[in-house]
Amino acid sequence: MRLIALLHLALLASGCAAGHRTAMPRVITAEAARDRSLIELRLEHFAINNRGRDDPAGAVDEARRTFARYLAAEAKWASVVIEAKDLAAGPVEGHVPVGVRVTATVDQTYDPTFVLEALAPLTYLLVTPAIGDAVVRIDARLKLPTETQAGEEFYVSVTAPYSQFDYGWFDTREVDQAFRRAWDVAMRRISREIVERIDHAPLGPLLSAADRARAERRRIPARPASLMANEDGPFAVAWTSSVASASVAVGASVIGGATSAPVVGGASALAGSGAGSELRGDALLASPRALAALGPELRASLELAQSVAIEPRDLILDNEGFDIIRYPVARGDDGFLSRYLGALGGIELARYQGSANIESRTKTESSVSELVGSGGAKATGYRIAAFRPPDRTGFFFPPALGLLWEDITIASFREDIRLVTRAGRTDIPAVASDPATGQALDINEPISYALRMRSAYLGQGVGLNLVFGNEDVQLFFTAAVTANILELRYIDVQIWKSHVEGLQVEAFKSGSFRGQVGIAIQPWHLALRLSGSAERYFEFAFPQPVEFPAASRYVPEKDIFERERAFATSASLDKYDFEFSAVFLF
Amino acid sequence: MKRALLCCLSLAAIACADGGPTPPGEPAVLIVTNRSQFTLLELRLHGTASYAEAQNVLAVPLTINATVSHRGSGQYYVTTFRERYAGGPTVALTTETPVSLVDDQRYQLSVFDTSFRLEER
Repeated sequence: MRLIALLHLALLASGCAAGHRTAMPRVITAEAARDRSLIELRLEHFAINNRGRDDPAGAVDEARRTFARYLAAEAKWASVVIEAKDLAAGPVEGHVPVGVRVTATVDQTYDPTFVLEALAPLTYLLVTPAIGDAVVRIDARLKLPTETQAGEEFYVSVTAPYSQFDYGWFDTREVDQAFRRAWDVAMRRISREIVERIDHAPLGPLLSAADRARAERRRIPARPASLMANEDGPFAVAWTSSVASASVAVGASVIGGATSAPVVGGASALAGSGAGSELRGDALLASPRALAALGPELRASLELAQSVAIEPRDLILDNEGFDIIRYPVARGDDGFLSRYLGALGGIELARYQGSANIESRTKTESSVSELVGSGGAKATGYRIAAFRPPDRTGFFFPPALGLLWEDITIASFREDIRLVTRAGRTDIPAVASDPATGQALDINEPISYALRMRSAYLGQGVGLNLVFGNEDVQLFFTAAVTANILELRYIDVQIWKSHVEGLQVEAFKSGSFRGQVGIAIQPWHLALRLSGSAERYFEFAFPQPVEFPAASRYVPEKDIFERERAFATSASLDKYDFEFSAVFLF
Repeated sequence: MKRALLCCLSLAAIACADGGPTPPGEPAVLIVTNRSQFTLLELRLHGTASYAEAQNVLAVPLTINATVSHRGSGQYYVTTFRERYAGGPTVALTTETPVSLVDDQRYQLSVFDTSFRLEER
């Protein structure tokens, strides 16, 4: 008993096992760094919410440094400042400071399957699945020198699924790996967006001023402004061309006086050490007076310098290798027709074999529930239909709307009745015949009734898909149960030459179980599956009691064997279907 | 001694003498009881295996455990008509062999679902 309790505690613990949520990836340079050598990135704020209890104390510092490396790898900055003392010292003279404020939030989900977990006590905790998501969301804001406050917040959220089937209650390697993947993608994406936003930010005048200042200090010619901005986009090129002529105007209108000194002063002010001006660079352009003094072209360019949206912001990473699939594998978008056909899944050719069994029970002298009648029917054939293989692991809740259409015969059982002979009397068997024709009959022939059963039902199901694989090959297993909440039942019973009919509404009198196993091979556009289903309709009521002879029994008061006349009021119907099918996937 | 012998001879002579035509006995009484689980629609007694020409002796259907009596001696087949099952066709059940009824005797014939039982009372 203690062992079982321990096992269950361990099973519960498996749901609580948490990895290191701040497990950091190695920095990988995504592309050649671009030149932003006048911009000093200042990581003013970096926090991680909802850290795991297993994370080391220095996890945030490590994450901060890792993030700085991602920023540095994304572009060639003047510097990326992360240390507190450097931040307190202010930006280096001649650099255009851009503040970066980051808040990361980590989360981990655990999705129980309720099926695999049940195996844990049976396997001494060998099978203890840990299936879920590692989620890293990074919210960031930029503090431009041209703004008095940090700009709008932008984010990226990355979900990395993980799955593990053995010893998941203490082994968190898969979870850690998922967090590394999520952090890697999140940091890379947010770093890239920071670069894009800075490239599109209205920093042209300041960059020009800083570049001129640097050039003057070095006594070398200033570079054309157009080279300082993002050379990738047409907007950036047009923007910088307007700034080239406007930068002087900025300095002249705000600071006044000579055209050269104010520019230098502006740049100095940005660095926080410029003499002759109390205004910082951000105040220069934030000032309404300054903006009003700008030429219309430059003002328009500043207003157009809006945020850059990198979509999608909510990313779900694909599996690494052959693993449990919890999110659909992303497919190429080839247009409307492809999407339409993709929604259908594919065309399935199935060979099916079905059977239906019916039975009727009733209370008799010898039993409280005696089987008195049964019947069966079989069907085989081929079927063509659309079919879409399951594309992710998880529960699903399919509604059930259907129609039962079953014609079946139910019959009693054949049984010969023994004759009891005693001395002093004569027991004489009866010979049965048809009074109309005089032809002999078999009195023990089973009684049969032709039934026409119909049911229109509405129900609700719950199912579980288990999908394993990679983007090319998926193995899928499905189990689903459905309860028919409401049914409209019709039954026609043929009793010899007459028919009796009944119509009634029933609730929760039927249900089904379905299962399938299959494989989908996407490059071949092929799927194979084996499926089966079982449906049960309880107590399909007859319009009137139907007679069946019960099993023979000895009747002491008559001193004979006799089959009691039993009257059944309903029958239960079971349907089984099995299919093997090949699917051409669109 | 002679007298005793004479008496014996006289008694023997009387015993061996032809008594002439004896008066006929009473027909046998056949009491038919429905001990089956069905109401008997008809009851026919007939001398041959075929019941087609025989008359129904029931004025009304014979309900379960009801009794009807019939007088007659000789060999008879007995046939009952009943529903095979509720709402089903009518079936005729005939004794596989005829029953022999002797004058002045009373018989009890029980009709079961698929057999008969003859008992002498």
